[in-house]
Formats: sequence, structure tokens, C-alpha cells
Amino acid sequence: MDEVKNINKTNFAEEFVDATEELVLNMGPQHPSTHGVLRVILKLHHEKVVDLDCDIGYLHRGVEKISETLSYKLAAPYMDRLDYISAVSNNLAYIETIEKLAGVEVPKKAQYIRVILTELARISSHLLWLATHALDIGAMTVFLYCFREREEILNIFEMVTGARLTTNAFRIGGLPQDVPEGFEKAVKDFCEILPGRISEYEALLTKNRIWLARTKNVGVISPEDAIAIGLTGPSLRGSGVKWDLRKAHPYESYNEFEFDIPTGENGDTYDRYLVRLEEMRQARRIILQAIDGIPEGDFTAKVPKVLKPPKGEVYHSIEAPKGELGFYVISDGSTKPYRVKIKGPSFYNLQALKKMCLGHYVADVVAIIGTLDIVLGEIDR
Amino acid sequence: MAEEKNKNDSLEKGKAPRKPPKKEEVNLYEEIKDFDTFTKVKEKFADIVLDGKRIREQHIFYIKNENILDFFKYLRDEEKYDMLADLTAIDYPDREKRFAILYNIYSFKKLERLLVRMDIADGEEVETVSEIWPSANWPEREVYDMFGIKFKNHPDLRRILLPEDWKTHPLRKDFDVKNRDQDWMERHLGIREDVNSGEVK
Repeated sequence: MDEVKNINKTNFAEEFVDATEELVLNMGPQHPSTHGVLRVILKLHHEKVVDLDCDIGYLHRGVEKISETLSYKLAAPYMDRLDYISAVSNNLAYIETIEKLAGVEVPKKAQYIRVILTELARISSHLLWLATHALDIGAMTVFLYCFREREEILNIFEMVTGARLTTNAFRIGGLPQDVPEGFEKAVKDFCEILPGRISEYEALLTKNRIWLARTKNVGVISPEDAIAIGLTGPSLRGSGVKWDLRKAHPYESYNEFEFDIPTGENGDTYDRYLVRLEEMRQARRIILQAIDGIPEGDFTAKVPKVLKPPKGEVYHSIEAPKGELGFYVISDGSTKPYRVKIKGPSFYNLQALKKMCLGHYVADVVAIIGTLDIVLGEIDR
Repeated sequence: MAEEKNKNDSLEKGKAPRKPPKKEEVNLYEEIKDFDTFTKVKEKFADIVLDGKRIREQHIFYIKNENILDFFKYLRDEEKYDMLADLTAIDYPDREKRFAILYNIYSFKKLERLLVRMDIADGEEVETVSEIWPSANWPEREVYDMFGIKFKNHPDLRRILLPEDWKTHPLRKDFDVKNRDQDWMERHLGIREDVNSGEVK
């Protein structure tokens, strides 16, 4: 009799539902959907996140310290390895900062080609984001489609710089060499096929019921919170803040091109998805305007072989695919920078993860990491 | 003989001292003119704001480490600098006040960036600004990690990039780039390396 009673007492299911105990779950650093080596420690109540903590630094290489020991020109290739998905943008931000510090005027032709390459990098970065984000949520097809187009862009990079990922595309003062023959045609061909391909992704996702269920109202952040936590880039624009450094503080003749800044309304994962898709179309618009208007002239300015910028300090930032990428460089008048500080967008964007995840299911954490579009090479530096 | 002579000639030519043209020292720092915020701040916080400069169209304010929270609250609420874009430190080992903290704040309303620099001595504590701008949380941890500067009332002041039991602060200038925390490496990886040759023992 006693045994029967005991069985009745320990109703397993009931006990489980009433459980108030919290479970600590370790996610990463080798988890495939953390896009690198991010470790997230989740505190769960049943399946909902009540607290989380990010553990970063697994990829820390000390780029800031290393660049203090190198000359201004030698440090540039290191910057490619921060956000290795859009190496061109990183290179541009660093080079522009040094140019601003040293007061170098860049010829128009170089500026136009820089714009074309960085916008291509933006498309390639967004393609990789879409591919992996969709894969995380479970749409495998999109992954293969996006990589097909990304390949075309990498081919163009290879044609211009000789490298596919860590391109080191620019030099202080302009470009290392003129663009090769066939560059214009390759870029135009790519621009030709892109809109159709984006429609293909949209056909697969935008009205897909599973996609909507997994992204709508997931990871909502209000514009005020987004600004306070330091979000920049598409993640900020998804919350409806119409702010883009290319418009707010134009660099590299961006003021000569027409383009729109797409914004979202609800600040959820779905809106950020739409914003990034539209950004790809706008990037294509800029490329087409730039490729038709490449001016004649030199591809580089005259820069002394040993560069010694005057004493001073400069902060300069550009609109990288992931947000505001800034460099703060101090010169003490010698050949090496006194201090280089890298303001990576992912570092600040990842801070918002906690706020966006609280109250959501474990499965949504994966979707939210994806929507923030982080890259660990830039967070850990 | 003739060859030797030629050689000597060319050597002498090569030795001829080439004097690079002396460049004039360029001073990039200018005085601030017609900047509304500066005049207001200078009046309101006369004892904190020391100076203001302009470099390559960028305003920098220099402040003292006193009541900085009031000062930053004023900048956020009245002058609408609503985002802290970046926060970092710089090490000047020769100076009396060794470190400089740099706040990089941005106003979405005015589309304007402002740098605020504050010199502090080694061991001096700084009030955290993470109450004013939540985005300061991680960068302040990074400054603590890399420079060993402590932030008062910070919600969670731990190392962020380096392991928790690491001993050194690598972005200080007296820390050699090849150096590593050898005790930590021995404890966790079981190796010890020679700093100069990089040889692993």
C-alpha cells in the first residue's frame, strides 16, 4: 500500500510544471549558431530566458597593442582581420582615419572605386548574414542561394586585389593599383543578376509562415533603448531610427550618390531582416551610379614613403555593414601610432543581446544572435 | 687599382649626407570658436571644464575628475548627446597624471560628435557613466581589463576579454607586446616561454 501511495505522490509531470528551480545552460563557445566563439551562459526558467551573460574574448589577439608597434602602413592588413566578412570596410575605416590625421587628399577616381568595393562588401556581408541567419532558423535553401551570389562578389575582389577574404584593398592615399580590365563589366553583370536573386530569397522567406512565426515580435527593442545601449547600423535602423553615417557625415563622395535609408517600424527580427534586404538593393543603386561615373585621373595621391602624421588625435567612423566602425588614432609625430582604438559595431551591438532575449524561448536566442549580425573577430580584437 | 678607386668614389657619394628638408611642426589643435555647447558648459561647470580644442573639425573638451556625473547628465539631457559611442583610455607613463579617459558621445538630434578627455592619476577611481549611458558597461570593463582603471559603482566590473585570473593589464605602455602572464600559462596550458626568444619550455 505504501508503495502505491508513494507513486501517486511523485507525479512526475506535476512536479515538473511546478518546478521553480532555475537551470543554467551553457551555450558555446563551440556552438555553430553563435557565429564564431561566443559563449552565452543562459539562466532558464522552464524554457524561458530569465538572465544571460556573454563571455567573450576567445579570439582576443591584441590588435590595438600590435598596431602600436608597427608603422601606420604596416598595421593596415591587421585591420582586415577584424570583421573578416567585410574586410574592405575595415580597411577603408582605418585608411581614412590615417588620411584624416595626416591630411591626405584622395583623388576622385580612387574614391569612386573605394565606394564600389565597400558597397560590394556590404552586399557580401549581408548575404552571409542572411545565409547563416536563415540556416539558424532552419531554412537551409537560402544558405546555398546566398553563397552562390557571394561567390560572384568574391570573384570580383579576387580580380581587383588578388585575395578573396582578407583583401587589403586600399592604401593610404588611394589604391595600390588601377582596377584591371573587365572590372566594370564584372560589376555590371553582378548588378544585373542581383535584384532577381534577392526576389528569390524573398519568395522563400518574406511570407513564409515559419519564418514569420520565428522572427515577428522576437527580440523587440525600442528606438530609445537601442540608442541607449549603443546599437548602430541595420540593427538600429530596424527600430526606426533613420541614421546612416553615409548620409549624416558623408565620406568618400557618398554625398554625390542617391540612395535611401530603409528603416523598420517595430524593431523586431523581421524588420531588421527587411532593412538588410533593402540595404542590398540600395547598395546596388550606389554601385551602378558610381561605376558609370568613375572619373579620369590618378588612382593614388602622393604619400611619403615614411609617413609621419603631425601630433594630434583623430576619431573617424564609417558605416560598415554591421554599424558604426570607428578608429581613434593618436599620433605623437613619429612613424608609429601612439594609440589605436577600434570601435567595432559588433561589440556594442552584442551588449543589447541581454535586453532583447529576456522573456524569450531558448530557440529565439539563436534567432536574436543571428539578427544582431555579430562577428567575433571584431568584438575580441 | 682603377676599380678600387671607382669603388671608393661611389662609396663617398653614397656617404654624402642627404639632409631631408626640415618640415615645420604643424599644430593641428585650434581654439574653439562659436560652439554653443562649449560656452554654456564653460559657464555652468567652470570648475570642471578646463579647456576645449578643435582638431580636424572635431571638438574635444578637457575636464577634471570631479562631479563628472552631473556634467555628463547635463550633456545628455540638455545638450541631447544621447549615445555613448565609445569609451577608452590612453596611457602616458611619463606624465604626472598617467591615464587619460576618452568619452566619445554622439547626438542624434544635432548629428554631432563630441570627445571628452579626462586625465587621471594611477590608482585614481572614476565614477561609472553606465547609469547615464547603459552602453558604457562593456567598454568600462574593457578599460579595467586593459589598463587596470577602476570604475566606482560599476554594476559588474570584471575582466571582459582576458581570463578572470589573468594578472597584467596589457595596454599599459610598460607592458611589452611579447610579454604574457607566464604564471597563467603554466597553470592552464602547462607551458612557460622565454620572453625574448619565444622558446617554449
